[in-house]
Amino acid sequence: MSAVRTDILADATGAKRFLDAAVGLSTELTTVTTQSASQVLARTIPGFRMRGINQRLAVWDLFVIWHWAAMQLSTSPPATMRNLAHGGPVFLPWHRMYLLRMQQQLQRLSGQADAGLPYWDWAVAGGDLPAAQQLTRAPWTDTVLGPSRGAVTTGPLADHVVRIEERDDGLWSVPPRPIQRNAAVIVPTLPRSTQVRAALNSPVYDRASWDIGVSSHRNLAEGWHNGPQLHNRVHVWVGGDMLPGTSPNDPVFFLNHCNIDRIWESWMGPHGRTYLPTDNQPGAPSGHRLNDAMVALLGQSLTPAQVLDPSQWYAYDRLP
Amino acid sequence: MHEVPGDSPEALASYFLSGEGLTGVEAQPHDHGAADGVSSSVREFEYRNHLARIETTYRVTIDGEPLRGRLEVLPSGAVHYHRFPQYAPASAVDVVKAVIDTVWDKPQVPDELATIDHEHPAPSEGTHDHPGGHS
Repeated sequence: MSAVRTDILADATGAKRFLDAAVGLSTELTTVTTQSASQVLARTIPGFRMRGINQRLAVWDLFVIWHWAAMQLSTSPPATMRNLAHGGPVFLPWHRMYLLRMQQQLQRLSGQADAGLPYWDWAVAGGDLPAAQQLTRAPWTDTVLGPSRGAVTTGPLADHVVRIEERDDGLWSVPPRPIQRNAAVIVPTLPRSTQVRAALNSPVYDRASWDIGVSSHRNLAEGWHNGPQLHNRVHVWVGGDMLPGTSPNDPVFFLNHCNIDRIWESWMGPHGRTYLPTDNQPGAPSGHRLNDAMVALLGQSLTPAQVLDPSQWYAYDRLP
Repeated sequence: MHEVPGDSPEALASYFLSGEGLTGVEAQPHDHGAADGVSSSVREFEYRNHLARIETTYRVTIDGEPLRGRLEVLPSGAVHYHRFPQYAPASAVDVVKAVIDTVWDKPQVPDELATIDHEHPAPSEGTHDHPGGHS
C-alpha cells in the first residue's frame, strides 16, 4: 500500500503518529547490545571499537549506527568526504532507502500500512522568515519537536532518548539522555526557497568527478556548493545532535531528509527518472553506480535503480 | 526482499548482527583521533605545467587537551573536522568553536566495553587514551 507523505506543520495527525513512533522506537529494546554491535562493525572497520557502557539498543539506535557506519565506508576511487552514503551520487538514493526502512517501522509501530513519514519544509516555514522567527516558530514548539536549543525535555519528544553519540575520540555508548539542540549558533539562518529553486533548475543529476566539488542537482541538494546549503545547512543550523555522524539521533533528521527527498522527486518531474553514473561510466565510484547495492544494515539492500520510482511505497502531497 | 510491513525488532536485530549488510564493502582504518592533536593534510595540483604541493599541519588543543578528531583541508581550502560530516568552514577557528559547542564538554562515562570486548585491544593495550569526556 502506498503512503502519502505530508507536511508536519499541516498534518497534525501525521505529525503525532511520527513523533509517537520516534519515542516508541527509541524505547523498544532489541537483542543487540553495544558490545555485539561493536563486534559487527569491527569486522569491517579496521581498528574500530565502541566505547562506554554496555547496554541493549533500541530499534532507533540501530538506525543511528547504520547511518554512522555508512559514513566510514570508502569508495574506489576514494575522494574527500565521499563514502557509501554521502559526498557523491548515491547520497539521494541511499537516504531514500534509509527513510523507506524508517517509514516501514513507522507503519509497523502505528499499525497503519499507509502511514507516511512527514517532511519539514524548512525553506518556506524557516529560511524565508526573519532569522529570529526561525528559532521559535513551529516546529520548535512543545506541540511538535520541542525547543530548538538545549535539552529536549518538553513536548512529544521529551521521552525520546539518545544512547549512541559521536565524541571527539569516536563512537560512545552513553546512559540514555535527551536530545540536544543548539540552533542558529554555527550558521544564523535556514536555507531559502531561492536555493531550493536553484537545485530544482540544475540540469544534470550528477557529473564527474562525482564528488563534493561539482555543480549538479545532487551536490546542490546535499549542500556542498558554496556550503553549507540545503541539506547540510539544516544539519548545521540545528546543531547539537544533528551535527555529528550520529545525527539520526534527532528525529528532525528524518524531516530534513524527507524534504530533500521531496526536492529530488520534484526535480525528476521535468528531468525524468534519470540517474548518473551508469554502471560502466569510466571513473564512477564504487557503491555509487546505478545498479550497485547500497549499504543496508536493517533489511535487504536496494540499488539506486530500484528506488528511482518510489510510487510503490509513497507519494508526496505537494512538491516544491 | 524484506518489504512492508516493517520487520519486527527481532528480525532487524538478527539481520544487523549477521553482518550481511557489510559484506564486500571496504572501510578506512577507524579514526580514533590523534593523541597529540596534530592533523596534516596534503593538497596537490597542477598549474601552468607546474606541480604544486601544499602541506598543512594543525596542532589543536583546548584547555591544553589535544583535539583528537582529524582536521582536513579540503581542495577548496575549507577546513573539515571528521566528526562533523556536513560542516567545512573557511577557518579552523570556527571548527574549534563548533567542537566546543557540541562535543567537548561531555560527561564522563565509564568505558565498560574496554574490559568485555575481547576481539580488540583495550585502550591500555593500544596507543590511545580515552578519557570519556573532557569535563
